[in-house]
Amino acid sequence: MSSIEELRAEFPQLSVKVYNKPLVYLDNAATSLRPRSVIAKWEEMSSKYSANLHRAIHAIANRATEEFENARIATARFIGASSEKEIIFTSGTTQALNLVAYSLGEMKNFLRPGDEIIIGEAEHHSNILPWQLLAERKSLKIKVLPVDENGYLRIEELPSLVSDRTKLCCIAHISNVLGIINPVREISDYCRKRGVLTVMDGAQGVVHCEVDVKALGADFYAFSGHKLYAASGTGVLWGRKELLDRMPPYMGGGEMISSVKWSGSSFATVPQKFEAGTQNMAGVPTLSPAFKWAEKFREYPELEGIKHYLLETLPQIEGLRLFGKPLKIEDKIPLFSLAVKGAHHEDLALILDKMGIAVRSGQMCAEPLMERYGVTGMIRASFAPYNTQEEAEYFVKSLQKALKMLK
Amino acid sequence: MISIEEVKRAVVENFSMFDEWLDKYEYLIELGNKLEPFPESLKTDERLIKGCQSRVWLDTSFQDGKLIFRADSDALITKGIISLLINVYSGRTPKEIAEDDFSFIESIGLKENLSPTRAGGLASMISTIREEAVKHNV
Repeated sequence: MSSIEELRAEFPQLSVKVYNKPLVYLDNAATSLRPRSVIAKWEEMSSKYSANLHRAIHAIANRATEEFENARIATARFIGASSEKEIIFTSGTTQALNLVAYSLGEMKNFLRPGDEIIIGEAEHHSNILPWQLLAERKSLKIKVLPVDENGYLRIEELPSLVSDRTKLCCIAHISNVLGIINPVREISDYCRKRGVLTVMDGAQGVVHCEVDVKALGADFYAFSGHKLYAASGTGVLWGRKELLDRMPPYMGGGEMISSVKWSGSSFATVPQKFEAGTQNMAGVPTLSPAFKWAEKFREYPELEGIKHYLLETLPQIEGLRLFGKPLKIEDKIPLFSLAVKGAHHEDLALILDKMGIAVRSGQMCAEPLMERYGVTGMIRASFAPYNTQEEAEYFVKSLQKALKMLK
Repeated sequence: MISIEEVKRAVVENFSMFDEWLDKYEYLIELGNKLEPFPESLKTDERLIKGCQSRVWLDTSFQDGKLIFRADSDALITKGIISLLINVYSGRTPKEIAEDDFSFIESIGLKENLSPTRAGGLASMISTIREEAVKHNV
């Protein structure tokens, strides 16, 4: 790939116009755009290989199964899993985290009333609510690992939070609001020594960091395909095999059984044990071409320039508060959540939208964090490697214009 | 008092002057800034319509056979739209409101701002105005 134009041409949505203006897509942390190779794979699967997986004998089903299982192998390789049997396909990070929370909750000899779960303060609702539901079901206690003013997790507080009743620690690799890379390795090291299992929300992390789950030392890692250039409705749960083996099924249905009898049923082994019902057969195979893009993008330095530019320019805007301020630039991904005094995030987002800029606004599925920083909401601009310096400059100019309108 | 149809026509006419979205928003911001102040004491949880983004407070009273609406929002463009709605619907009889189809919102191109799928406070504000009208239209 020689130029940014050629790169952008691989992502058809970039040529879409909104309100007769070129689309400036800065909502990549919510959903990334899809490259042609992903769209082509999805189309190929839909137009040629629609069939249920694993069970049927016919040729089409065989091919569909092969593509699906190849994606599992590709996923294992992409995140450094020991075996593809540790890869469970879900509809996204949310389902993956709910699966862990439910199934761990029902695992024999694991949780007792009064046990404790530690959750990061900057978590997405998807890494809070499954644990709150579990805590309610099993009478557990939730403790919060706070973030500091700059958006760094206060991991020095971990020792005072972990007790001999602590069973789980649930942390995002990177918060979807703050964009600061958390010291997940340190956290999982500490937790492992204390017998605490770590569950990582990798929805943002897997996009921006090279993930090796073995090196990370976590017990579970969850991520979504739709933020990683793959089809929507795809997600991955990685878990350590010995835990997955012990965990009971999350949903019952087709595909996940070994034998079904009125007197009682037995279940398939992992990963099928956790994949009840018809899977996303057109979507999952798009993970393979998506991983290729994700790997290619790691060699793209352009985003560094955008990061430098915005970290320098945004704080100069009067009344602007940036959330997730890095002490070192490499701690931060190109994601900028901000609030401006006297300007409502909804107004800003509405005006930016009409200028062709897609940003996220509101509470960003992190209401407790909004409360922590004393704001009703923020706007968030999140960049991908197909975004340009010109787009970053247009964003700043447009933001300034919007603020002038709202004065 | 001029009829509800005439007020709506005037609103649609005012909006048709703007070709550009940003001009429409500038106009709404101006309207929002001019909206009659909403007493802080009325900003109670019962009057709060919580949307995903902005908050809307709506106070309804029924006087001399007419419905009086007062409202506020913490966001300016929403406040401008509130001002439009109050201009059209406050001080009208329940019958007038109940018989209205609220379609003028579409004619000024603000449908997306008011769509219920956006989970905004404004869509709820409109349904509340309608419900109040139906309730009193006996």
